[in-house]
Amino acid sequence: MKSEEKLNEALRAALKRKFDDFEETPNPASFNIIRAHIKQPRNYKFLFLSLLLIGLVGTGLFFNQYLGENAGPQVAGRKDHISLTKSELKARVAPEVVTLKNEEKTKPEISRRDADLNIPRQTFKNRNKHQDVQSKLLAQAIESNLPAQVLRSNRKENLFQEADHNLSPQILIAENNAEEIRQPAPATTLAIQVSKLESEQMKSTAMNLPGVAVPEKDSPYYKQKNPSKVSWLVNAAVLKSYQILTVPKSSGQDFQNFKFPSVFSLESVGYKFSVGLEKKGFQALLHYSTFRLKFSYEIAGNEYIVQNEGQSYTIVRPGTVVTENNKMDLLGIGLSKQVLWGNSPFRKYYASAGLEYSRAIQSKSHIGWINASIGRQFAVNRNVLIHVGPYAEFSPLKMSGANNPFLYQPYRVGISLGMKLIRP
Amino acid sequence: MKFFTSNKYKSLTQLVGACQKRDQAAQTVFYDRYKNKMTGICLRYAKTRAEADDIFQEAFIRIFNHIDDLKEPEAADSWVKTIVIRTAINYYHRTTKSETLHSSLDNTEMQLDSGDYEKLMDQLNVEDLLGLINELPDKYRTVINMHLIDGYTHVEIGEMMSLSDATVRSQFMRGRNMLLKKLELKGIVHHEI
Repeated sequence: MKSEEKLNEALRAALKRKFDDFEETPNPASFNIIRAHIKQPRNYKFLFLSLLLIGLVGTGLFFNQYLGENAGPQVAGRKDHISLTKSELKARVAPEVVTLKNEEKTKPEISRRDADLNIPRQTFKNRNKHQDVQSKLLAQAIESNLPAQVLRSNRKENLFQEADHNLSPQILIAENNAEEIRQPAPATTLAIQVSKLESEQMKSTAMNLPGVAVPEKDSPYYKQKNPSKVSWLVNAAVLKSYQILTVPKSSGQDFQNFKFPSVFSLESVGYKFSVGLEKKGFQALLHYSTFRLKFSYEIAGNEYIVQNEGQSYTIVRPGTVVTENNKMDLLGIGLSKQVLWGNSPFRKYYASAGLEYSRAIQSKSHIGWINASIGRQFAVNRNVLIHVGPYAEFSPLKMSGANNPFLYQPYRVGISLGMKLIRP
Repeated sequence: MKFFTSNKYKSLTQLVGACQKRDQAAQTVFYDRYKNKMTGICLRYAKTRAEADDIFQEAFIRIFNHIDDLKEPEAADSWVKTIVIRTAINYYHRTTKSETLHSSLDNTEMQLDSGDYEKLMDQLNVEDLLGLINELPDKYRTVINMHLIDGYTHVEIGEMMSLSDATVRSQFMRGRNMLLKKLELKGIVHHEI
């Protein structure tokens, strides 16, 4: 038994000496296989950034669509109209005063005009307290023989205010006039030339119905009131990735039979989405893109096989096949300059060039790009321009891989489609 | 500028922490740290190079997928090694249905002195010795590796392989004797030293 133990100890000592520092290089393809089977990272950062991007785009579109329109020419035109009508009306109403003589004349007039008011019934549904008070005042006024125009204008103003603040200008004026009249004089002595006011009002209302746009006569492209204003940009591009691969001599291994995806293969197609701002042709953009590089190669072995091919012989050196399939999600910031040229009021040519710095979302890899694009820009309307054209970018520096000794110089080529939203 | 590359991690704890966050760059560094050593272990436990590759890949998939279970990052070295050995045990437990043990060699009476075998092994290069170990039946090879090289006790081996103490001892003795016989058959005997 003792000799057995001694033998075991001797064996243990000998084997440990031999194998304690025993190391061997694993199969080069192993890491890719392992990577393909391990759990994906919990990409909350990606989710957050995606939501941020969507939020930015959504907010931009919202502001452009609604605030831009509200502050636009329609509003300006309406204000002009109001001031004109107001002055006209003041001039006309002041000297011409009609005295209302009895209640019988006033009441039918009120009911007829109320019927004439083409106010959507839905607007009555959401009355607030203020409106209820106004209704009560209206009833009291009718009872106390207030002039018809004063009552109706007062009521109408509130209804429109409830609907969408698109106040009919003549209602406002009538209200103002009514206020002036109501304050100094008792109701029974107030007088307005109703017929004149009525004709003015109906004519003006027809011209200022809410939601009816004035036909655009100007060229949409050139009539930007302030081209130096900040515009919103949204771009999407489909890009195919290529690479210039450098195999250093001092790698200690022989590499052979490199295979890359064909020129039109979808294996290395990625996408790029950008959103940003433009002012005076300078564009600041936030980029999100997927970047794929795929190729395979063989690590040459030490055996040489001579193959007989008819009358000739070929020496083949078998190797271990390694497939590289690198996919990255990149988030980047970029700055570029765009220039436009062309004579058409609706279509122009554009060219842009810029720099971009991107960082991988899953890892801490980073990459720099120089990009350029050229194409055509079309005006959809005064506020929206669409541009489409080829897009290319390349990395000016060679970068080393993690699992192999190669140096990469990636470049991407594709088609870009974008939209520019201009605040009027 | 580096591409698909990683940052430097100041400590093993930091590296494990990054791997637990599924940082791909950290996983690459982690893999590079252990890949050669663990390949050596897999080659000892496997019968062929191809099987060693399978065990190695399976083990690292388990390591990366279960690295959250590693509560003491400073013990990562022994944790990784244990995972690899357990994967090798499972691999042969799964693939080996019934094994024909070479009974003719089992009971061979050993005549050599312990010191002779120590010297004999020193004479062999690692590849030859590895070849002899690889030729052992799966169970014997596993027990020999675990007890003589990796330092597990019979009790620990029994727990890991779901075998009784006695069975482990028996398999170890048979495996050891078979290994010694193979050394003799290799033609290296004590009087040649």
